[in-house]
Order: sequence, then structure tokens, then C-alpha cells
Amino acid sequence: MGRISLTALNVRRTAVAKLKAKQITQQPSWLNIVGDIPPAQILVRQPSLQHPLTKVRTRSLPSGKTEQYVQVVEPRKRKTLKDRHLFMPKRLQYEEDSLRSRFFSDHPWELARPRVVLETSGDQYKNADWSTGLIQPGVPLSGESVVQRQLWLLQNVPDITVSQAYDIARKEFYSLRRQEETRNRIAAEEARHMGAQFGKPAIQIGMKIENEMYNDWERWSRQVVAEQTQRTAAFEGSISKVEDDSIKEIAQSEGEPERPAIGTGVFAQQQKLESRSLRRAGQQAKASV
Amino acid sequence: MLRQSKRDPKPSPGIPGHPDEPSSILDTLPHPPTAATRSLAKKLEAQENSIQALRADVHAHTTARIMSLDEFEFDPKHPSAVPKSTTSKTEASSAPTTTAPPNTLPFDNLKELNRYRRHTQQEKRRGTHLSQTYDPTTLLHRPPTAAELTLPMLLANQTHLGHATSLWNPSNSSYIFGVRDGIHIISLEVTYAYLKRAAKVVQEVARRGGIILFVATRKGQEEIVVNTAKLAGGYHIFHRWVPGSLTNGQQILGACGVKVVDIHDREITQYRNAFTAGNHTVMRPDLVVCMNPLENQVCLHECGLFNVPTIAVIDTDANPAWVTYPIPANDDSLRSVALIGGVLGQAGKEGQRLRKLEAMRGSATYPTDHVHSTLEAIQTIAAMDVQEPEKASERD
Repeated sequence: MGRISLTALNVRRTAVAKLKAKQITQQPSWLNIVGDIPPAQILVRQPSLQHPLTKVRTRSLPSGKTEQYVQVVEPRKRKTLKDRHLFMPKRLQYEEDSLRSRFFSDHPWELARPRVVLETSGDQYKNADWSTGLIQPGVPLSGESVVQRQLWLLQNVPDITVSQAYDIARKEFYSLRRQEETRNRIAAEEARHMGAQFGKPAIQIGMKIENEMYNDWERWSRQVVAEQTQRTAAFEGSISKVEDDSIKEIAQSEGEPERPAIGTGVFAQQQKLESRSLRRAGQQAKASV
Repeated sequence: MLRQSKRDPKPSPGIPGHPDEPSSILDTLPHPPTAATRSLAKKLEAQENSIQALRADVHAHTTARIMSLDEFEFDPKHPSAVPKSTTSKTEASSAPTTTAPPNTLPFDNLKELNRYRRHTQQEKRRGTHLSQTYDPTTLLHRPPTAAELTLPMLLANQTHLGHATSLWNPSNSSYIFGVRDGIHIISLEVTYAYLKRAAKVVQEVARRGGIILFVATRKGQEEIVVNTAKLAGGYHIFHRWVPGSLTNGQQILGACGVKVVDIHDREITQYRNAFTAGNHTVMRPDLVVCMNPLENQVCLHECGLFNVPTIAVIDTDANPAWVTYPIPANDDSLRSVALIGGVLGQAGKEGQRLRKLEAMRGSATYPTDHVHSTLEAIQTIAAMDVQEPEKASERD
């Protein structure tokens, strides 16, 4: 534990020693190869690479000429400088990072668009020239184009601020997106006219599933309510339909609209109704007699 | 009260046949047919028959209609020509029973199916131009050689992605470029240099007729390692390194067969009897290439014990001291492993080509004296017909 075994690194040395001691009789075929192509140095710590944030800008000079210059933003120094921090890998940072986060915080729905993140050859941006605009060969229009265009403007337009470059790039982007949407809409219309059918959109399918769930729930709740009323009816009996109608009739004839009672008023109202219905039942009995 | 879900645990079934149970086992028993059930069954049968007849009728009708459409060809000279399909229609409808059932297999054989597929794909591609497409099998079929390797290629194949910063092995600090989004980024230049160096070693070992063993035991790496070994003319392991394959090789691999070949790799049948399975010392690799060293520490340890040089893909969480020639790269991405395996395989292929070229000139790239002496010794032993001591004692 804790010690590093260098057996693998020293294969050649071991083999030579074994040959010398005649532990092995035959020289292995790889012996000269490992001698010719020695293994690389390992376990040697180098001071880690520094990644300061560099910004390229253009400024106009009083003579009327313009000059491109580089700003280097040094990272803040650690308060406690320990030896091990010297060898720790440093954070990679680029100017695009801040531009990208700004754009996508302003346009979060751009992130919801489908996008191919697969690298094909690693050279996709090789032919891109961001001075010409946002549409580049082989690069689909996305937030990344805005970021690259903004970066180009920042680096090449004299005395431009970040927000100015952002406004220029994003307005170009808006107009291109508008064009694209119009084009897509017209294409869809034409296709429909020629008999294409696109089926239900995703939102309608979602609504259908949701409605099914609601209907299902309603069916279930109706069943539960019916069961509960049946159970209570079996326990304490229910008012017959005739009685119910008569109660309503009385309430109408009295002129006061039936109001749901609150608190102890519930019992009072119930008693009142009961006494009325009883009285009416008695009257009916007398009449029949 | 909550609505019951389908995933709720079901109430345990009661005793079957218990009188309190709503359904008794008696319900499931088939009842003897009564007059009422018999009449119902008859009615059902009659209805089914009528439905089948109707269906056949409809089918005949539609086929007749379709056939009539096929027969009708638009004649530019007589555009007002009316399709003469009335006769066939009446014939077909008059005899619904004679129509053959529709063929469920539209193609007679695989060749036709493939032709159809090719045709449809060609038609789909018509009028569209696809650029910058990615086919994962390209790395297997046409891997780049070490000379064709570029940094963008390494980047696109994800060799630069390391592990989370907390999982790192500090011995790898010289290979690491920086930290991004919580993971270490391996320096592409370092990967490039180390991969080229490893490719050179593989090529040289292949040129001198050494045995190269490729080990990649992770899931999904089977195809890659087989392809690499095939290219380099080496051997592969994709299932598991059996511990002791080197240190206890005579027991584990003694039963495998070997053959004696000349410099043109043609078998010399003369020694076939002397080298039957289990009757020879085991062969040991001259170079071991490991794609996932973390899982194959035992293998690398045995190689160290037996003085075999090793090459391995070292991610940021692996120990570079385990191997002779580390290749700092991502070992978790199949794409990255396929690229590295492909480059090493191409290097091995080149080495084999050089060796065969040398053999055509009539000389071997490796010393053959000790092989000659060994073979002679074996032949003399065989001629003496030495009895084993135990057998000899039995005879006495």
C-alpha cells in the first residue's frame, strides 16, 4: 500500500538482468523495441497549465487607424498558496461562456429546440466565416451562431461594447428565425393543400390522454358516491321522493329561497323542515279520512 | 378516500369454494349442455357462418375492383377509352369461393427483399444531399492509420473527456489540460503523442512476429477488440481475463493447440504429432494491449510478473504505473476506444505487411536459431521413445 510499483515500466531492465543471469536463455523479441521506443516519463508532476481569460478587441486610434489588441484577465490569486494547488488542473474559461449564458438566459426556449450534438468529424466549424452573418455552411441556425457572430463583432468592430454586439447579433437572429418560421408555415400549408396529413399535434394527444384520465376518475368517483349513499341509506333510511318534492314546494310557497345553513343553524333548519312535512302529512291523513 | 391504482397491492385471494366468497370454484366448472345452451350455440354458429360468407364476398369484390384498375392503362391516343372491367367483376363476384387467400409474404426470397429495400432507399435519397453524416461503423471498417490521425478527429471521438474531478488519480496530472464542467479534460496533444508512440510499438512487435494480445472486457467492446485483433493479426479477449492465465498458464491453457509455421505463416505439418494439445509449453504474449485497465488489474499485474510489456488506455481515474506505455484517453466511450483500437490495429497491420514482405525476400525478421534447436531436441526425444519413470517402474 502506498508504494508505487514500477515493474511495468522496468520491463526492459528486468529482462536484460534475467538474460545476464541466464534465467532466460532467449532474448525476447520486444527487447530492442522497448529500448528503441522507451516508455514515457510518468508520475512527474508539471506545474499545471494556466488558462487566463483572453479577450480580443479593436480600438480606433486618434490617427484614424484601428488596432486590434488582446486583453488578458488574470484569475484571482488564492489567498492560501499551497504547493498542491500548484499542480491542480485549472478551470478552462473562454469568452464565449459569458455570451452563451447571457443569450440562453434571455432566450430559454431556444434550448428546447431539437439540436444535433453529435460530432461528425470535429471540423464542422472549419469553413465558417462569421463576418458574413449567421448562416454558415453546414452549421444550423441556433443560439451558438449568435454567440459566434457576437464574438466576431466584438473582436473586429472598433470600439463596440458587448451589449451593442449582442443587439446586432440577436436582431439578425430574430429576422432569420422569422423567415424560417414563415417558410415552414407556407411549406406546411402547401403540403396540406396537396393532400398531406400531419396527424394530431403532440399537444392534442396529450390533451386526449388527460381527458381520458379525468373521465376515468369521474366514473370512479360517481361509483364511490353511489356506494356511500347506499351505505348511509341502509343505515338511517332516506326521504322518499314525494317527501322531498313537498319540502321543496313548501319552501317555494313560503317565498324564501332555500339557503344552506351554517353551524347550529343546520339542525334548526332541519327541524323546521321536518315539522312542516309532518304537519303536511297529518293534514293529508285528515283529508283522506 | 383515495382512488385505487393498478399498482396497489391486490387483496389476498380468499379460500376458493368458501360459501362467503362471491365466486365459488363451482362457477368455473363446465356445466352440461342444456336445450337452451344448445340452441344458443347453434345460433352463434349460424351467425359466424353468415359473417364469413359476407367477408368472402366483400373480399372478392375488392380484389375484382383492384384487378380492373390494374388492367386499365391510360392510352394517350384514345383518352376517352373506358376500362373494360365489367366482365371480370361479374365473374369474380359470382365465384367468391375460388379466390385464393392473400399472400402474407410479399417477397419470394431475401434477394428480392433486399433489392426492394435498396430501391426504396435510393428513391428516398433522390433530390436530397446529405453532408456531414456520421456512421459509427466507419471506425470499424476503415479506421485511420497513425499518420492520418488528427487532433479534431480525437476531439470528435471524445478521447478528451475524463472523469469527475473528485475521481482523479493525481499521477495523471501531467496528461490533464484543465477542468471544465466538473470533469477533467485530457490534453489532446498528449493523447496524440502517446497514441503514436504506442502504435509504433505495436507495429514493431508485429513486424518481428511477436504475439499481440488485445484485452477489452467491457460491455460493447467485443466488436471493437475483435476487429482490432483481426487487423493486427493478433489475439483478443473480450469475455474475462482468467486470473492465472500467465502465472498458471500450463494448467489453464495447456490443453490448447499450437502449430509450427514457416516464415510465410504456412503450417509445417511434420511437427503436428509432436505438438498435440497438452503436449507443449504454453505460448506467452509479447505485447498486451488493454482497453480497460481498471477491470484488468490482475492481467496487468501478471504481465508485470512475467515481464511482458503492456499498452493501456489510461483514463483520469486509472493508475499509469500499471502499464509500460499508457495512452491517456477516455476509456468509457466506445467511440474513443474504437478509434484507439483502430489506430493500433492499423499499425499492427502495417507491421504484419512488412514482415511478410521480408519473408517474400526469403529472410525472417526474427531469430529462428533457438526454434530450430528446440525442434531438433524434440525430435531426438521422440526418436529415443523415452518411457515415463512411473511406467518404467511398473514394468519392472
